[in-house]
Amino acid sequence: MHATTLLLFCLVLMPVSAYSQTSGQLTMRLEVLPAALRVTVTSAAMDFARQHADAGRVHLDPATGEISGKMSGMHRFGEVRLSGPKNGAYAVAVSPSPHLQGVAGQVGFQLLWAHNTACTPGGFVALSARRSTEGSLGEEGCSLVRFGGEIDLLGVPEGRYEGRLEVHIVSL
Amino acid sequence: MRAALKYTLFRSDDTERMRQHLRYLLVLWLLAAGAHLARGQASLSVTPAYSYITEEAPHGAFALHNDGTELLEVVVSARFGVIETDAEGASTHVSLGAAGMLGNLVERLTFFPKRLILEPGGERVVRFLIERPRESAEGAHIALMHFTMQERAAVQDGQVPAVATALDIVYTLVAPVVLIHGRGAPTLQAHVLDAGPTTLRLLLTNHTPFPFMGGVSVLGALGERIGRAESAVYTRRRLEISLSESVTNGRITLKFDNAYTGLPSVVKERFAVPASIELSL
Repeated sequence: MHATTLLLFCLVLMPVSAYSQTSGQLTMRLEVLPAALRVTVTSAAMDFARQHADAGRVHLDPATGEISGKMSGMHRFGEVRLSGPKNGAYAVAVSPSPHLQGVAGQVGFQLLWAHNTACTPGGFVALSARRSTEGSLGEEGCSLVRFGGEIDLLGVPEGRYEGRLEVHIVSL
Repeated sequence: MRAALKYTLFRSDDTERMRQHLRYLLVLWLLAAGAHLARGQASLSVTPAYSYITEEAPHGAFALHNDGTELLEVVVSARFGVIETDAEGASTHVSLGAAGMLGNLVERLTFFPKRLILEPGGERVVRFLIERPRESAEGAHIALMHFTMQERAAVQDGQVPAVATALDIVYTLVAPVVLIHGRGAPTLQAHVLDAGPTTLRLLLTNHTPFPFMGGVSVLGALGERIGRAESAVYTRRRLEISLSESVTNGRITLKFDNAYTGLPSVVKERFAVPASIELSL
């Protein structure tokens, strides 16, 4: 008990006595690093599911989350979540819309995209058909960008068709 | 003979056990398929969002962090380009292959590693160095670091197509590295894109090899500040400023400062603040 009291006494007294005996100045320099943008890939693939060969135009609508003309299988949107400082600005750009290539030929593809600046379910707003867009992370510091598209299957032979889309994201 | 006998015995006595094994295998396969569908997410953050350096300390680093639940492979590359707004002020994006009056830093940039694996929760550092920085012309030189998240996804194997179509999406996070050699003053031109009751949209153009990094304040007719926003203007940049009062009529002044979040003070000292600009609305 005595030892504990003595230890506490020393801890309180020693800094005070040290201060009374010496004096000094500490210059502190603090550099705040630019806030980082975090990219979380929710889905790195877009899938139009299995369609009838004569399905015509098929929409994978990123604003509504719906697909037209599905025959069977799972459809899938590309989706990425951006997070960072409140109201942080960002820009997203995509490569030119690729053709989907298959053994029997190719399928034309037109990108559609939408964003959700609050990261709430169902709050997607369609973006214009430009290849780049800007956004803000809003009060929540979060934004979702979802990718869909349109393909035209009229006269397309049966088969698998695949492509690759590049998405560039930068903090503004 | 003995082996054949054993096999016969096995077939006759353990048919039910075999069926049981097949059921287990089926359950395991279903669990594996389920796990594949419910796969985790890869998440990449790169700190800092941009890096400004001088010829006196021509090196730096980016910290890459995977906050996700899945292993992440990142490929690192550097390309010459700039972040700018198009001439109409419609969109801001990454432009590759040119950067106005800014020099190409890619030729002098060395970085390591070029490919790395990030465990969930893991962090790795990409270090870079500028070779012979004093041999470059005075002004800013830029490289855009590309951090590309590698993830492969294709048409699901289980889909036997009528027509099955799918796209891989490759996400890349872009962060500028800018070397400032010497001292200088950016010269800015401002063009009003839109002046609403609460927002002023400007297009700022820089005609020098020194970028503008700082704040733009809007001063009303009496010199009072009615709005401010920060911007980095390498070549051309649209800027949206929220206003505390309407400026739909009359004159305003744009006053510049060099307070830009995250810009090191040794870099700030290299730029003179641009002269104010008066605008009529």
